Amino acid sequence: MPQKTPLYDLHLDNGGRMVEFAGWLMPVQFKGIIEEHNAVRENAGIFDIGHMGQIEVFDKDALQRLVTNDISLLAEWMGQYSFICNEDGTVLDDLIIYRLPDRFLVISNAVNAQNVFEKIKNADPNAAILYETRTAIALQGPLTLERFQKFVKADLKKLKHRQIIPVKINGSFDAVASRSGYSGEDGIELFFDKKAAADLWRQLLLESFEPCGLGSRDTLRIEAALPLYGHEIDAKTTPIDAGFDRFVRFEKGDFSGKEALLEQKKMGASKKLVGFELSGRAVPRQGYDIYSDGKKIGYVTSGTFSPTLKRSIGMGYLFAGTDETAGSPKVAIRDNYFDISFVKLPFYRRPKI
Amino acid sequence: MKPQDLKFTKEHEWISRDGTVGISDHAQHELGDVVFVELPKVGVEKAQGSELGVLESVKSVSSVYSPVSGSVAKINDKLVQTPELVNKDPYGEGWIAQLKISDMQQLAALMTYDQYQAFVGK
Repeated sequence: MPQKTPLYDLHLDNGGRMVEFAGWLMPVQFKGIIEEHNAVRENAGIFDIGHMGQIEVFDKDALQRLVTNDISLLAEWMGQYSFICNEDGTVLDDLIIYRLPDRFLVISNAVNAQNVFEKIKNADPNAAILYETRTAIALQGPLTLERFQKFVKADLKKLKHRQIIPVKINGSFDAVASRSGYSGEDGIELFFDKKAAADLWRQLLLESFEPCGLGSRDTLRIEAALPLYGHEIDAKTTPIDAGFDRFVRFEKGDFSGKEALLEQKKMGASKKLVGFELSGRAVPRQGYDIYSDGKKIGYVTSGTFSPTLKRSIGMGYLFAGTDETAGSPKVAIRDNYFDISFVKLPFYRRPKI
Repeated sequence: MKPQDLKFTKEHEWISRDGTVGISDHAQHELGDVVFVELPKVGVEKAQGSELGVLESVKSVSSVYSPVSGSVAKINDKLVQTPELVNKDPYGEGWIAQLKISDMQQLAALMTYDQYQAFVGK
């Protein structure tokens, strides 16, 4: 049986179209993917992210030996992006790790939450996964801070990227709030008691936050070139393949996958993550092949019609040694070949204010 | 066009007596925002149930099947630039192609609007 977040019934009442995702029944859309996407780029939207794993870890040294980034560089009340790798260097999951005064809060993908938790629990028997008691909502978009400020006393504008703070929402219940997200926009992610979820969601709707589903979460993250487990990263891909070397801190000491990753760093990656645009409106999708002059040079990991750029975009891997400036690259979509041009990632970067 | 005047398939296409083909309101709703339509070529013969075109939504891709056998007489070129017409007006401006129907009995055998509504559980 798929699991339900505490907002499940409310999503049904609000016209959410529910689909099964990573063992959870989640809304893929409410009004429509493009409308929700645009609401986040232009105003503000809310996402139910109660399916994501929240894992509490207490043993700092144990966690340090599991993840690729260096948590000793992490100040209290700050978060960092990291990988947790298998011994062969492939990605078990990508994580956000927050440092709280007495523990770490590790946020993992829903699909990997149990595997990540088991690996952590083996190293820190006190670690706990919080699905029974906690949930999360992401508020994303340029008007997020302005619209959410009235709920909390702390000055949200002063929060740094990936800073997390304890807040009392409406003076009534405790949460931790971080300035973070997965849309390429400014935003806040709230981690809090499940029992408060439905009330808070309703109040956010009253403040004109657009309810958004997994569909727009995907189109937003593709435009921002944020990787998704099962697409750009998976158990066949290392952080080096994906070009995320900066989140792998070899100098920090031993960690899971270090030897394999060091070896790969010396030998070079087997593939390279790239972004491309299509000449037509057809949509490149995961698993489609990329060709140049009749030869297969790579494959697509994610693609969509970009609501912001109004053209089709994709990410994918090119095999090592491919010269992407040579030949005329194409992506095969059904029986047709569409011209593509490689572009610098991300496709979309939010305007600086 | 009034949906009550159309015939429907189990794959959620509609067809009018003059051979115009589109997808049902139920189908466009399930598909979500259509962003690309692959149209057939005019003059091509299509057997009943063969692929007539392809609709890409943001989330997924799905085929449009020919409700009857016939040759493609016209295609809706407007969908190349404005594929969202499939969502906005599925029984009107969102039509996909017009077939010259070769066997009117195939048309007669399709579901009526009421039968189709019952089929999709409405």
